[in-house]
Amino acid sequence: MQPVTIAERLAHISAAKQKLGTRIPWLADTMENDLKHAFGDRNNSEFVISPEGKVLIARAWSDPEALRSDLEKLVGKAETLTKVSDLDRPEAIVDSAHTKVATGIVPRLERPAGSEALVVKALPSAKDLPLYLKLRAEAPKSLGRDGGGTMHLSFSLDPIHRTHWNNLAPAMRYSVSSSGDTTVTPSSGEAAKVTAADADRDPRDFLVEVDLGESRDPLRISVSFFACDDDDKWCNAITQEFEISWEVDRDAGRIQNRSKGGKGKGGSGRGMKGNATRRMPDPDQLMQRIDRNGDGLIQKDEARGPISERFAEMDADDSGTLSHEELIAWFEKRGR
Amino acid sequence: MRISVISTLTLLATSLLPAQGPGSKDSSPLPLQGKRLPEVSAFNEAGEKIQLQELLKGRHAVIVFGCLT
Repeated sequence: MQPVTIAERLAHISAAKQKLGTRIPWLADTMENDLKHAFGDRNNSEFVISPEGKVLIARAWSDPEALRSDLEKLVGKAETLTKVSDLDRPEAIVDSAHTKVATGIVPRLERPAGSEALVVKALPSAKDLPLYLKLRAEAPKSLGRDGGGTMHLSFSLDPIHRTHWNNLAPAMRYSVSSSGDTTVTPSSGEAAKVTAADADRDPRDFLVEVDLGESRDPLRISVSFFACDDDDKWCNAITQEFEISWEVDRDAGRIQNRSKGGKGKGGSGRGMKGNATRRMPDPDQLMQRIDRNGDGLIQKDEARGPISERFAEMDADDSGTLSHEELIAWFEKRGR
Repeated sequence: MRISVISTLTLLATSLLPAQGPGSKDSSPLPLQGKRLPEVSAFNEAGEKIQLQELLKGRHAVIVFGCLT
């Protein structure tokens, strides 16, 4: 879940330091992700810098053993060795472990094949409240090209703010405001009432049909919901607004192994189709291995072996590059 | 010799990103290897904007990127 303000990024750092018990200095990237872009757009990369400011090692994926070897060559062996396995590392830094609020009880809606995250801006709250709710909007690249298609909306409560849905109150509602001749169907919707628990933290998913018409103006979505804080100090009605732009967000990260959720009813969008869980090559690993220039795409001259042989078939939008989502879509299609 | 290890919080995209593990790592070098440290800003833990070159000047440093959620 992406922080949308520097304050939220710093809150994540604070949570991480507390949970890991580390004294290592942390940096937060700018909201424009300048650091990430300057260092090659990798999520788990590592770099060794010389005192003169030269990048001695630039590794696409962090490798603690190799890093130790690098440092021993540069500055000598450490007197006391600490291995990663010596540390009691939590699975997630910011998670729901502090609360007994239910999770996994609301079914997820499958994203359209080949979906990519769109640029979403969380607008400041009128009451200057924290931005408890986050929106991830995804659509196939063909939506922008052809002017229409299915968009997946996923609303999640950010665990950094320690809140949960109040299922005793009316369910979350969204309402879309579009400009020009853009239409969104349905333009408003309500999440299915959750009866399995009085409170939960599961995302609320919707699928909407978008017809952009001639306009490419951003879409504005208003969301009303009831939430409580995890310490049971307050329960409030909250309204937030988001703006969706019709461009792919290269910094939105990727979603892997999405849970199907549990029993219950989904949102009032289109029916749930179930998630693709067939065994297939890990697109993330493939991307890490093949994408040598680190731009998050597989260029034609980077592709090797079967990927190279089937490049044209996999390149669904004929862009001359393969995105992570095109890899997933192709492997899912092959698995059917 | 002093070594500074810095964890850089950049994307924080999702808790569903795959964890590092055997077979998932790519130790290949990135194009930045052998070049000068980029002139770029970031925020320290106190929320102050800092220049990375200034912060790391005069010592070996390790920068590790990661996602926390």
